[in-house]
Amino acid sequence: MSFETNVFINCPFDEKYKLILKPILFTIIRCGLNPKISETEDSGESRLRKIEKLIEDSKYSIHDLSRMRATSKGELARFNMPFELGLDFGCKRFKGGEQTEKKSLILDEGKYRYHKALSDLSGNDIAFHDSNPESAIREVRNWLKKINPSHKLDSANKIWLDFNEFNTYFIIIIKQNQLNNEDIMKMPWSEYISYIIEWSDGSSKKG
Amino acid sequence: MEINKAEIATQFREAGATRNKDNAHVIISNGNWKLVKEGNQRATYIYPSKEEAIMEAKKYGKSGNAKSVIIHNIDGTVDKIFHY
Repeated sequence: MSFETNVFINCPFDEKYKLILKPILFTIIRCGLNPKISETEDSGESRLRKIEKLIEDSKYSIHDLSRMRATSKGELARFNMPFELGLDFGCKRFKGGEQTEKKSLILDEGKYRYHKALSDLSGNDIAFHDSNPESAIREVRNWLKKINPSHKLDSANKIWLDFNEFNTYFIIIIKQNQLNNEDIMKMPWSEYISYIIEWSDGSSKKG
Repeated sequence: MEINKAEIATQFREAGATRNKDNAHVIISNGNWKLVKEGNQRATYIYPSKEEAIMEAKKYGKSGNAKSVIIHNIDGTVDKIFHY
């Protein structure tokens, strides 16, 4: 996959965030692009080097800062996401060449938190999903349309309906093949992505 | 049992190429619960609550309007499937 179609996704990988990550992955694929997340890169390189490579290889990026605040007493906020956002911005700003074409979407779960936590971002486009998967689909789809107005994309409503249908076939096929809940919960993201791609390819070729 | 990923991938591709008009989905959208026939972009019915949507969707299936009614969770995953 090429720089032109790669979307680097910088987000939490906790259980709760699957609610948002799955529809984001689905939307990116339905919009003809290739999601890249650090978990899918199977190499012996250090985590930071892998992330640097993903950033260099991706024209587009989505950074979700939802975990900038700790959710319980004693828990620390996660700094990986803002750090990787900074790496991505730095790559665009200082590396030159095709990297200057980079486009980024910054997501958060609530409005205006970044004003206090990361005020340097003021002036950038930040979208909010309120931890709602349909909203996440709408924000990602609309951002992709905004940066590529000539691209013909399905509406957010259509993508949300398709995502629900995909989930139906996902559970039917997975159970038919005797995968259990543990297999589903711990399914590698690369495998989940491959099934979306197959379903989506089949869908685009129908009748 | 060994997982045949290539076979599963083929099943996903075939499923993607299928729109089963006999399926009706109950999904949340913009805060309302909607009954949508598979492949359609417009809701057949709109309800204020999931409970009401499920009750009406069951009647819809029993009346011969759908062979399967799929109830979804708010994250789009499947909660229950009723066959008629």
